[in-house]
Amino acid sequence: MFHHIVAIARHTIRETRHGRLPWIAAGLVLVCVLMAEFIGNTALTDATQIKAGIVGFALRWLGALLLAVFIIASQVREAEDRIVELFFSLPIRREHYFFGKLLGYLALAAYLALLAGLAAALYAPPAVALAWAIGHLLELALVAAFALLVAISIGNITAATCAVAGFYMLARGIGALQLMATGPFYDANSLADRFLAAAVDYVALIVPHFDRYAPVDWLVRGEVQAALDIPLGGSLPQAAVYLLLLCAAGLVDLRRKQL
Amino acid sequence: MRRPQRWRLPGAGEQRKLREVPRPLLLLFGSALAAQLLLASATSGQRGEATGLSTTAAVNRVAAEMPEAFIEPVARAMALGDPAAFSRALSLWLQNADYEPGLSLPLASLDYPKVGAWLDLQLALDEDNRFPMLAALHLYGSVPDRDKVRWMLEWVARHFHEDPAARWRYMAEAAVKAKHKLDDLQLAYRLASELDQQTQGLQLPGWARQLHIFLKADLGEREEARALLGALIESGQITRPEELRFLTRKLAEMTAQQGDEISDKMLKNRR
Repeated sequence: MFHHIVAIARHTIRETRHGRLPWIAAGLVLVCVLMAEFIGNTALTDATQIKAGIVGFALRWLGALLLAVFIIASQVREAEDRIVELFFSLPIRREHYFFGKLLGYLALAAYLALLAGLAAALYAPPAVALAWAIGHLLELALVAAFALLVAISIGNITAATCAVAGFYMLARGIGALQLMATGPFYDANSLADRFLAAAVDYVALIVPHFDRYAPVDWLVRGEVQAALDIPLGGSLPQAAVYLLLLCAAGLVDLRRKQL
Repeated sequence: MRRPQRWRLPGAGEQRKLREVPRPLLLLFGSALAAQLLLASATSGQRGEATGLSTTAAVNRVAAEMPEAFIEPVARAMALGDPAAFSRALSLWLQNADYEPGLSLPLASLDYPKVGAWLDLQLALDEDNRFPMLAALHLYGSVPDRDKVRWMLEWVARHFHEDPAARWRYMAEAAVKAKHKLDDLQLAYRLASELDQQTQGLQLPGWARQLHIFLKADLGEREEARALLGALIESGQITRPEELRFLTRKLAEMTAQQGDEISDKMLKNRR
């Protein structure tokens, strides 16, 4: 059973190497660091904090974008080239295919998080950079699982990319949306305000809170304790449960696929 | 009859019925969803507890940590060619900057020069953004700290001079605020007279144009206020008959009051 999963994961990793993705990712990290150096050196004060902020902010977005686009393009191409059908014609269970692909993509996510963590360590204490990279990895793992799910179920590059982008932005902004919905201008007597606040709270129940996973202010402030407590204490269980949910949804959808 | 086809994206493919999915898989999906909902509702009350600080310490930390405003060229680069939208995004951010998870910061605890710099930046990126002037008057200018209110009114006055035609209303509000919130008639009069001087030739409602005159009267300088009001009526700038009637009556009242004061003084002198 496991050798099928590992073989498919290896095949997926080989595909990332053929696509020159590791080099593209490393190049992007280098560009981000150079950009941070350039902008940070023009600052009157807090140059290191500014550099940490730019690197963290840019790499979080780029990591998620690169991963999602690669997964969606790869899955859709496999479906169009009938490679998925070829896999399923072999004595391989659909679950093995799903977990094999996911494992390969998680390896890519780990590589991206490692690169981002190394870049962050240039401007923040190593323990903080490590905690931030772990948080970023959890975030990327969920992006990978969601991208795989929508790529399999939608099977259309444009629509799947939009879905992942919407999911990621919602998950990053859900904390802020909740605060804004009950912020200083919230009127408890207004039906519209109460409805909106309740709607945002319900949405918050079904999306992961990426705003708590790897906030860039850990790097900017460099507070080791807060950075170590939060990803391992709060985000890890949530990410694990959400990953399970996405896997279950992906497997249900894959089982329903008529090939 | 032909059955209507279900709408589907190209590439989505045919799907089997849900009942054909193995039960354990559906059970796993249901359990995972229930676990997510439980975990999310359990952690939703934890907003703001992450810092582990007391409320006062947290307020002080958040207030002290408001970042310095970007310099304008950097902000323009960050706007990616869309400074008006970026200016409004900054407005929205600043509006919520006093509001952290589980913590509503008193506005007066903020560092006003920093807040002012952010407001400056928003106006620099888009001079038509109305948020900075409005926020300066009604958010940051409504705190219980008199020095901070005065600071914000001066900020409004500075920016009024950049574009008196578009911003006269805020200047008038600042003058009214100086009178009623700060009880500082000198400041109110100064703001109102700057408003009058900078808007000569512009079409302003009478109340804004006459504000400095009535403030002058409140300051006890009735003779000067009467002269100013007389000059205003004489100038022909007041065209509406009802407004003219009101001002003429006010002028008569001022003259009568002044007459009374003079006769009071004379009586006192005789005694």
